[in-house]
Amino acid sequence: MRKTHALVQVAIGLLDDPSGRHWGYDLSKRCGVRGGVLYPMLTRMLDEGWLTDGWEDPTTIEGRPPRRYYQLTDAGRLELGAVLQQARRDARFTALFPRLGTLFARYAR
Amino acid sequence: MTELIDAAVVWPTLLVALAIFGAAPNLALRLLLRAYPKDHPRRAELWAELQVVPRWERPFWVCEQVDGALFEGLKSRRRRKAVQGHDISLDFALRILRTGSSVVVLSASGRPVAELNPGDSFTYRSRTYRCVGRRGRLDIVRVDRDATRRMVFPRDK
Repeated sequence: MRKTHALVQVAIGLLDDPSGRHWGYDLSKRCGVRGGVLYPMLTRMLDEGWLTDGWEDPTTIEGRPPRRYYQLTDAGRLELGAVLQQARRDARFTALFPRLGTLFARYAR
Repeated sequence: MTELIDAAVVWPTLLVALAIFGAAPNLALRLLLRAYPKDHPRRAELWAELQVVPRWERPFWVCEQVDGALFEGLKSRRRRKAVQGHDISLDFALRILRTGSSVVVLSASGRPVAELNPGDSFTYRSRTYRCVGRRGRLDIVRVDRDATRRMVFPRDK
């Protein structure tokens, strides 16, 4: 997958909670990536096997339809981790360095 | 009098605001979702996401989905159509490879394969779930005479 700002931002958002469930709207808010870019990217990640998806249990919610969630796979953690490692050394992503730094500092602990 | 004029100015504004932040995003999204194939998970996903987007943000959020729906949705439709074509050929016990605009039949049976000669054509009826009753026309440009499976559809020249 081509390394773009959006990909790095989404990788940060997903690896922020590597074992959690992520929702499209919520993820787009946290990453600052608009939906028109995010959803096709999630589809590509699903195709690559970096993510798995599922649906909310309808019995646990009320008044709204069940939402689709995404969860990182082991392969996804590795690949997106590698994307972030490369982004850290790439001057194109200077603007994202503070967020990357925070993430790596948390993993270092 | 001025109060009446003020009211006339305010009411349309209020109605427009209600439309933009009320019904319009739902309607626009429903129309956009039609770009995706019927059973595409993105249809249900985006509809469910819209319900959790704050009202004031909805018009902008729906606008964000336009390019995704057009590119991703239409691409999925095109891909689905290609896969359907493949499924049809499986249903007929025919293995079909498309080469350019021609159709190459590698194996077919049900009536003597010898009857299918290069240049032959026949009408078929699909039995796949998505294409019930749809008719199409195939031009046979090559036949594998070692085919063993039977084709169950009558020849209709």
